[in-house]
Amino acid sequence: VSKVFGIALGILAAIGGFVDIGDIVFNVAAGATFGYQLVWAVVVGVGGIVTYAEMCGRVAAVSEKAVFDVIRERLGFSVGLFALGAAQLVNLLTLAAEIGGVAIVLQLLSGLSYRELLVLVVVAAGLVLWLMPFQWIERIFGYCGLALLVFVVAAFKLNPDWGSVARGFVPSMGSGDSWVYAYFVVGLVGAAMVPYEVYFYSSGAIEERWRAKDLGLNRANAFIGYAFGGTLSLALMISAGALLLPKGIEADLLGTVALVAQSPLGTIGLLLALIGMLFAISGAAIDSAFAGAYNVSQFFGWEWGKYRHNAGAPRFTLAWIVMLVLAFAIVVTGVDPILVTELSVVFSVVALPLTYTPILLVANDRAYMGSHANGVLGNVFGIFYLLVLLVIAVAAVPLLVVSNMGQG
Amino acid sequence: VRTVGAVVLACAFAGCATIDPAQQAHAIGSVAAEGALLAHDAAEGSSTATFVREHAEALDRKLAGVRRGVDDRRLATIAARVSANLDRLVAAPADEHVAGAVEHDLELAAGEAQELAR
Repeated sequence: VSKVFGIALGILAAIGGFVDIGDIVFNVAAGATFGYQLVWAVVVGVGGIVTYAEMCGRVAAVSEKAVFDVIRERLGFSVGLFALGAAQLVNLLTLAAEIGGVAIVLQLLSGLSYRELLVLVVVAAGLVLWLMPFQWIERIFGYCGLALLVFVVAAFKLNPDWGSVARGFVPSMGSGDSWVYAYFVVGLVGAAMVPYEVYFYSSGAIEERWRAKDLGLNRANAFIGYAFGGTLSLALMISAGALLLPKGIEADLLGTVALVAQSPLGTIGLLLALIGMLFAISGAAIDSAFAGAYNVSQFFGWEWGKYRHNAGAPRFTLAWIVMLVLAFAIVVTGVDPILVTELSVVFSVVALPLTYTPILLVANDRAYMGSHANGVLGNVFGIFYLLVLLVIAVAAVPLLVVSNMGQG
Repeated sequence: VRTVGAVVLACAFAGCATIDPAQQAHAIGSVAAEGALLAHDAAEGSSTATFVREHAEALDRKLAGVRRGVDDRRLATIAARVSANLDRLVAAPADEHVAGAVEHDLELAAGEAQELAR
């Protein structure tokens, strides 16, 4: 019973921790712009993260190697270093966007000044990273992020045209500006498959000392936790499509997201939305700071891991402190966190093949994986998503320019 | 080639692409419609004063960015009206009567702006 309970708690944390500022921004903006036409892109993105999170967790549990161990080993030092640079740039932009996003949500809750809140957020994140055990961080932010389920209730309360929602599951060319539509496809897939999630997930498997016996837990987290987490993304898009699109409201402020829950559900909807966003985005900020430290430590062979405590892995500790300071330096300039979010998602799409190709190779290597190597189904999905990523990686930056960042 | 690429990207990032009047009208209509929605919830007591004030301020800042590039006189007048209403909401976020009046005026402004956008 306690094992089942443990798995259920892990799944709940995975659901609550699934959504970050990239998912929030892209799903609500896509719903406000195209209604339910892009539901299929969310399904594609969630399928991708489920496929590769399961693979990363399996590789970590069986070979005891996290993502950047694998990348350096498979790509060699030079190409691996390039992959590390790309990953760290994306992690840094993501972290900056998340810190700015947390400050905006706190401002909407408290009315305090944005810059003061930025300082508070960075100090609080530093304390959490320094003091809190790994499992507490994962669980507390994941559970509190479940407040975002308010958007599922809001989606039903807004009474969308469910026939149109159902038609959205079938890929289409979409109506309206096709460059903007394509930009949102890239953004939605990229936001769901953002690379820090797999860096954090596979390193977390090592932190929690997963072994082959934990592969069931890995599958449950990936298949159930992430798949249900994806329903939060869908709820955001459907709510925005039902409320904002008919009124011609563009969604490029975090306050607009909260308004989507407030309008059908009143003050309680507003507060749950803000609290859910606060914990989901804070959790993602902590994950991305750790992901940056994990990557550089694994690549250069330093001691790493929260389980070693701060003094036991000094360069790892210094790495996440540097990540936090640099991210703070970016957002304190006054740059719009939503703009940084969009850039981080688009650039992450470019970096994704460098992350996922070595994982697919190792997951197929029977010398490492033995009987736990990829089966036919794992390879079909793995190769399909790698091809999808290659296409959108090539298209991402041109679409950013041509679509004027989705503005048309 | 790299210089041209950098300029193109910098332009895209800084939002220096040309914005036509229809897009400006759409953006102003969007702010007005969102302001009306916010004011509606405030008038019904379905929000918090802090959220109403902060989000109205954010909408006004967004509007200020659009207004800088507006040449059309009718659109400029609508934008000024939207901004004035958002200011009223910022000044009295908990006043349900003010919110009701703001909602009404912003709905009208949203309709006029969307009309110009067509």
